[in-house]
Amino acid sequence: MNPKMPLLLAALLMGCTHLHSVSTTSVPVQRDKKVEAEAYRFMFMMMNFDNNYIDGLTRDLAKQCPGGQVQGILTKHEGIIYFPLFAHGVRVRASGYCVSGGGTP
Amino acid sequence: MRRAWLLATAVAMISGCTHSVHVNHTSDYRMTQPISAHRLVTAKAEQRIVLGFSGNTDYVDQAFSELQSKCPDGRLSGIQTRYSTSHGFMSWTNVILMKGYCG
Amino acid sequence: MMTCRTASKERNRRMVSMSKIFSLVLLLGGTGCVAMHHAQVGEIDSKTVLEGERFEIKLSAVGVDTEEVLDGAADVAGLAGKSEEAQSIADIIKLFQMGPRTGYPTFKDHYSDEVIDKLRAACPSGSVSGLVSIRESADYGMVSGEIVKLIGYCSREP
Repeated sequence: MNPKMPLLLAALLMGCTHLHSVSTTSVPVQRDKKVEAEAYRFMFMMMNFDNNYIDGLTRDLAKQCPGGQVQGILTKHEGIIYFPLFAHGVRVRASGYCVSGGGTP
Repeated sequence: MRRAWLLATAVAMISGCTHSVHVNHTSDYRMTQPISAHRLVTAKAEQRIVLGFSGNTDYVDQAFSELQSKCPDGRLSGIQTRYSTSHGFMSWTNVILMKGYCG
Repeated sequence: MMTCRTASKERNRRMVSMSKIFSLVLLLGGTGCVAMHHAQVGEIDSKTVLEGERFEIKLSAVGVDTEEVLDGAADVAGLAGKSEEAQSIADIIKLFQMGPRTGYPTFKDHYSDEVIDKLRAACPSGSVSGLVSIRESADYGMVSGEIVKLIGYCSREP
């Protein structure tokens, strides 16, 4: 076996992560409590039949901030290439700040 | 032969450095005062990618953190985010530019 | 008075003119193609959106399908009998323009940075809602208009 093969495989399996889109919302003054959530889908042969994996993202963020508001949300939509054509991943990451109380600081 | 070189030179000259803007997003405006009462802050982060290998998108978080650090005691509103790529030789540079109003 | 032959010639002439006009209309109609790459809808305050003033900001730059241009140049050079060399030069130039693309590449990346300033001019009060950010392209063959559009509603009340 070629000794360079494991290195090549490791490099390929590292996963090339690329950004598809990004968006933000207004950032509050109160930034002490950070909350994060992620939705991920692995795609074999680039087949994907629905995008329902995203639906739980807002609830995941809200659960980390009971009784407050999640503001200053940075949303990143990433594509990951594990192996071209055969193995891909899609990840949506949302992070924000939990602002306690009902008002908008 | 001469015509081919002339054509190639002309094409190379007009080809130049090319870029592609993928996203330009504007966030919500939460202001109790007119825009003129706010201060415009800017942050920029880049990621150089060679031959398509990139392990993360941390440069986005970097730009966002830098923007927030320029407005530590105020609210950041009306944040414009531009995500673009500058093309290069067997490589490219991803750019995140963020501008927002601090008040 | 028209003979049958003259009338038939006249009819044929009219049909040829009609088909030319029809082809021209099809050509003109088919050459503009608009593609939407990205659309995001922001927070909506019903009062501002329904009672406020709508504004639209549009910024664009010319995009060039550099691969088509390079291949076309190589084809033209090929007519002079140097197709292989010209194609090699075209391929080398393409290596200098690698990277992800949305629409056709442009020669500047800052054409859309003024959106925030134009919004300030459109709505100095800052009472903005219903923002829709759109990234689109208008394709005209080898060139395109790479457009960043922002639609929103402004309330004149603070």
